[in-house]
Amino acid sequence: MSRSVTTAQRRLLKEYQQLAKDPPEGIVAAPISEDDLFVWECLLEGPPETPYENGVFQAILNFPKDYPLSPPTLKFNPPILHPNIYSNGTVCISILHAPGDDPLHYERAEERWSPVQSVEKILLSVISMLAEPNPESGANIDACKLWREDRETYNKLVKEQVKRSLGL
Amino acid sequence: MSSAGDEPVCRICRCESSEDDPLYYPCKCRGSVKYVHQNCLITWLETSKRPEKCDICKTPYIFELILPDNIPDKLPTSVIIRENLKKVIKGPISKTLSIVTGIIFILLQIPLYFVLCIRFFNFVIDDQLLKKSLTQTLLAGDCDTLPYDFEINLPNLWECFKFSFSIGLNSTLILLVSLIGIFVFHEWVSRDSGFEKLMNKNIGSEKINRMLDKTIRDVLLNNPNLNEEQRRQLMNLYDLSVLIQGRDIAMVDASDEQLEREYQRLRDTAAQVIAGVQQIQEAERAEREEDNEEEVEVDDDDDDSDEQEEEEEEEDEDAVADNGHHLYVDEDEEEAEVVEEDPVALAVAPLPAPQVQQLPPLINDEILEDDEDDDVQGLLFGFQVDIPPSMSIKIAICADAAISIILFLIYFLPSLIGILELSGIYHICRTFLILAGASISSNIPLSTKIQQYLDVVFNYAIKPIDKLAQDIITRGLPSSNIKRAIPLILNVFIFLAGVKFAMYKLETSYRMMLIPLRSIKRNIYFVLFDIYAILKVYTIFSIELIYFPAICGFLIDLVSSPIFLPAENYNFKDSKFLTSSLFFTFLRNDYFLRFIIYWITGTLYMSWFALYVGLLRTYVIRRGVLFFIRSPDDPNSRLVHDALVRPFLLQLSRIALSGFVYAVFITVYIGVVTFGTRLLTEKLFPMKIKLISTFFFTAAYTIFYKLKKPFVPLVTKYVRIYWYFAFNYCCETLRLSSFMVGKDNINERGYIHYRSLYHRFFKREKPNYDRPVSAKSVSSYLRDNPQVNAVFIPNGDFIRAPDNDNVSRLYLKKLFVVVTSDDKLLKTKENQNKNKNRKERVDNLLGDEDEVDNVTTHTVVYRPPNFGYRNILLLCMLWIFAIILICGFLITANIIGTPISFFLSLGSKILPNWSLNLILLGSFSEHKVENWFLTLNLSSIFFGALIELYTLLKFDSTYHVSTVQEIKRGAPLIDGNYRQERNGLRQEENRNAEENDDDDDENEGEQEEHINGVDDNDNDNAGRVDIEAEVEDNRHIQRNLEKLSKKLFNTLCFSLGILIWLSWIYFVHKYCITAAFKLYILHQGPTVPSLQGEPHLGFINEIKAFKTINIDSFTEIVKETIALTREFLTLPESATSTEIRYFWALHLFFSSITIVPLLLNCYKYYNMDSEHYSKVLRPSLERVVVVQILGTIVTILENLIKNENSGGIADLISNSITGKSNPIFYVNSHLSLFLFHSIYAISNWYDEFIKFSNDEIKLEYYAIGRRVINYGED
Repeated sequence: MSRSVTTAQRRLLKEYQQLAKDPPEGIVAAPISEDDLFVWECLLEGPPETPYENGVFQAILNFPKDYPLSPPTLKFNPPILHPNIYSNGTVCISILHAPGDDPLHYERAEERWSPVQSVEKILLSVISMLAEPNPESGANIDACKLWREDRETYNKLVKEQVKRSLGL
Repeated sequence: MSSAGDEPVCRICRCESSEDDPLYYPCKCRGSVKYVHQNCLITWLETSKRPEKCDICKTPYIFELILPDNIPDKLPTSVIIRENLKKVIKGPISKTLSIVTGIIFILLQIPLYFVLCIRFFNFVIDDQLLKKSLTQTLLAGDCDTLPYDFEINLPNLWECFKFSFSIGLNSTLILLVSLIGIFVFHEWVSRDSGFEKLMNKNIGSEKINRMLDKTIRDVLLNNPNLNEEQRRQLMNLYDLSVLIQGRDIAMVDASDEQLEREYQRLRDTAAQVIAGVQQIQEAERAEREEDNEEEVEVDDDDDDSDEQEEEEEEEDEDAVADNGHHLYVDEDEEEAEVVEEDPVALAVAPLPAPQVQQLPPLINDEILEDDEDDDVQGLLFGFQVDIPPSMSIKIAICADAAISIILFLIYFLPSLIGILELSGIYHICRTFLILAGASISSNIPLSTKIQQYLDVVFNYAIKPIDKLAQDIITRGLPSSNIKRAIPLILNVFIFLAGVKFAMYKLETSYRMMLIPLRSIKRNIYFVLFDIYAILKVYTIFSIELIYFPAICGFLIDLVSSPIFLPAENYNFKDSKFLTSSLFFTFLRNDYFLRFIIYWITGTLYMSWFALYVGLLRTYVIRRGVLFFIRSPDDPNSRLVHDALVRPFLLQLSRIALSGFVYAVFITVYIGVVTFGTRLLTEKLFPMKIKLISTFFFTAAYTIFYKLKKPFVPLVTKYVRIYWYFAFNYCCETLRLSSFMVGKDNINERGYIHYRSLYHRFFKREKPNYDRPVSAKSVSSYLRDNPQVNAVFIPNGDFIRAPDNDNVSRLYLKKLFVVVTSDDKLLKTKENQNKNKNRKERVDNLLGDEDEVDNVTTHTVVYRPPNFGYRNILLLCMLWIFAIILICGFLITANIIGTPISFFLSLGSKILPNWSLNLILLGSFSEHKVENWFLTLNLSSIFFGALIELYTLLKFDSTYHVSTVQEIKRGAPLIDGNYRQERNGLRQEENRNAEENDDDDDENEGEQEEHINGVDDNDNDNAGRVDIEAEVEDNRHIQRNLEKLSKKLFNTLCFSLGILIWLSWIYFVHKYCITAAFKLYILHQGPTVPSLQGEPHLGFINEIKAFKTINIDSFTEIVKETIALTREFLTLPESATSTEIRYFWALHLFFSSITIVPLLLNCYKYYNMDSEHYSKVLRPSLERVVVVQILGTIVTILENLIKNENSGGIADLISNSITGKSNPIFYVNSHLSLFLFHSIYAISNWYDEFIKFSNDEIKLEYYAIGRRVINYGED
């Protein structure tokens, strides 16, 4: 910490400390290395009573340099099947959208990113998104279709993924 | 939740407070997000470009300006001017640019392109040029006013433009409307539950099909260890499913019993199989429990049709829901398509996105705050919708492409194909005819007479058709729209026939096999069925909503012609009486406009009729009397569903029936009055309606704007009371009270028999109602009791009648039967017919069974003998009451108003000059004196009606208590509703008061409280509360009246002011102009031809004369003006040209001075606070502008009516706008319009200027930063 510390770094550090001190259930998140606070690795537990139950999913949080003015991006690695997750693993959720991003006003302003939000809140929202997909703003059309029309297959595929994520 | 040390941290950077960067709490948020650093907050606000309020609690942040020590008292003028200029350039100029490009590229270009496209396609279809060259053809098309080889020069191009533009605009609008219509109908139809149901009926349900299919497949695949028997049973199960779907609808006529037995057997096996399969599948079952249960239900479906229907419905709902999801993706695509196809819609609709981006942040905030008032005002001017120039060009290009494609697809291709089809049909018919003719002539000897007939037929029927067809096929000259339309229509019909045929084919394939259609076939059928359904619904809707009102309007036109037409066009001697009054206007040949006018009239009439029926239904008559007219709040009225599901011919016959009823109502109810009056007296008609001058319109608008709100509920109330008494009177007379108004009067249950004609005539004796006598024993009774002269003889019976307007259709069949007074059937009705039942069941499937609530309650009412005749008599009596009400009101109004309008029109006799048209209603000059008080005159009626309404208002305030009490005894409903109404009115008035900035705002809150207190009282409680409420009500009325009188006074002052202003202008003009011209003519002698013999000096002449006189210097003139005014009345005979000049200058001066009061007014208002401005001046200015715009439209219409045989609408409008045909109107409306516009513009700019130079702005200009203020420390 000899260099001049930016707002973003300071804030990320605070959030890291906060998360380490008081970790919420089912969430583990930390910077990959202490040198670069802008890339975090997270482990998310699948919410119970959903096909994602028992799964542990790995995701990468990428923070911009002007954090917390701009939202971070979240990418599941490996990608998981979900209507709101692109096939490359990037999560599409309103809390991760910058306030000026949405010209069509699909999402209300208060749903979108604001510096009041935090890593913890993002991850909690993602977990609730896993439990309740929002097909209105689908990111993965195939998953959307499957989720709407053939829930069984969808559940089956997700369960397979869960098994794979656990290395079974 | 908060950080560990509980030390407050910034919600953005999560850092603690420090000395040089303290924490603030600018909003209501508490807890971990309470505090924020000033810098963090400002950075966030700047980067996010969001409104300056908290994201969470929405509290606006308040900032304090940080100012340097020494700021000047005032902004330097250069800064003000510079900043204002910046604003002007930024605002109006860029706006103007966008408006101009918008107009050029969207409003002008698109219709022209449309016409161009059509002309090009026409050229290809016709295979010939309409004008000499292709360019000329494309430019002029079939414009009649231009010759074949016209020269391409400016006037001709203007002619082309006018012609093309009006056509293009019309056709583009029609295309746009029809495209939107198709889209809307598609949405309606395909979302309707009946659509899915009908489709399932025709081609089988996809849902069952898919589900069973899948289950059986699953079972077969997942259980390889099934034995042969089980497999066979599963196949049976599949058949069974088909039967379940097919049986109820398709096999209704088949032998039921056999089917039933088979079905029963299969059902049992199915149950077994399912049970077996269930055991095998138990492991997997847990996951798909729901689905399977549904299947079992479907499979176990028993033969009770009702249950099955219910289930089917459920499934349908599922299917619809499913489809909803399917549709979602499709919908997006469709919407995208529409956006592409209908760019004009985009142009018309406001575009929120670019606007938000373009405007500076301050205005942005306003928009985000959803200030409705601002929006409305913005709409009034239409200039707040900004389309950037590049956007309009893009829209134009898209629109052009779309137009080309659409026209190619719906016009060009069908036309060509149609020509081909036509030639095919033509050749076939021709060959057939020739063959037939040959065989007939050779085989059958024809008499000469028949041959003659055949010749006639051949010459007059076949030959022209033959020629036309040949012309179309060979594209012979000259081409016309009819020739182009024939192949197109033919093609459309063939296409529709194809659709129907394909549908039929698919349906039969389903009926034969009873296997629901799947995948591609199903999709094809879906499209076909969609087309068919849209067409069906569209046809019915268009008949109901377009043609039906138009026909009503036409009938009204016919029956109202006696009111309007003068004697030369209307008399009974030459049997010139069944004519349309519109026919004698400029609209004689413009059928389209006439149609529109008819439509508007008819729609108004029908809505008025509906209002009347609604009034009766709610307040006057018993509920359930009008069960045959669907009430608008009927939960079962689903227009689209009904139109889609019910058989076409049945619906047509219903429409025809209601059309007949309407026609009878119009012709008899209105026609008899108008024709009759005209026949009886020629004095009342024709009504004088020559008063639609702009001034009159302005005054009328202003008065009604001020007064309509208190008057509407007042009129409603008294109309309601009138009809209440009218109904009660009629029903009592006709002994229908029990049935009609629900008041069971024992006296009505029979008739009175008098001893002799003498007693009958005088009716002095009252019978003893407690001692009724039967009809048979009456003579003996009278003999036994010589002192009794009148006896009461009961007759009639009790029937069951619906007691609700939403009563179910099926239940109605059980009503209207004779019962005892305690509701026991006298006769049992045998209506248990099996066949009938079945038929009803099939009907039910499509119609009534899914009514939302089946009301099956009834009441017992008394029915006198000759019930039907009594009802007809009731209608007649009501008609007479209606005549008394309407004609009484109008004629009284006319009589009261005549002196006023006569007095006003005296002015026009004294001062017969053009300016009078501004002020006065001039129609009296044409009247004969002896008729002046009898002839209906619209202006008299207007004034009279105002006076009448005002009297009614006075009456209402004075006698309110008595009337209310009187009504209350009879029907508490009226009072309760009236009170509600008045509350509504009061609230409305409150709003109004806020708008108009009434001074007595303080009273309002108090009043509101009072009235709320009254409302909370329970009306059912004893009279004390009621009386209190009454007194309270009275006080309210008093207050309202005070307010109203204040308003009236204001209005009066306003009108008087306008009157004075206008007469001042008038006198100045008159004296100046006449004097000037007198002098001018005196001076010049009769050498100026243009001014000779011209008593009415029009505006153009004024200008001409004005141009001929040279003004040396304006200041000089102003100096001498006062002196000249003194000399004005004593003009010397030998006036010189210098004097003329001065008088003209005087004229100019006075004219210009008329603007000063307005400007002063503006100035006065601008010195007030901005709130006052936005509340008072802006709305009033805008209202003035609205009035002027409406006035202009009226003026144009007026001109249209005056110029009977001119060359088309475009010509007329251009004439009206340029003032060519009538300079008066030009001066009257357009100049003032311009004036008000410019004042508005100036005032806007001035407003900006003021804003900028006041303190706040100054401080903002000099501020070097800002500091956020903690919440609550304001």
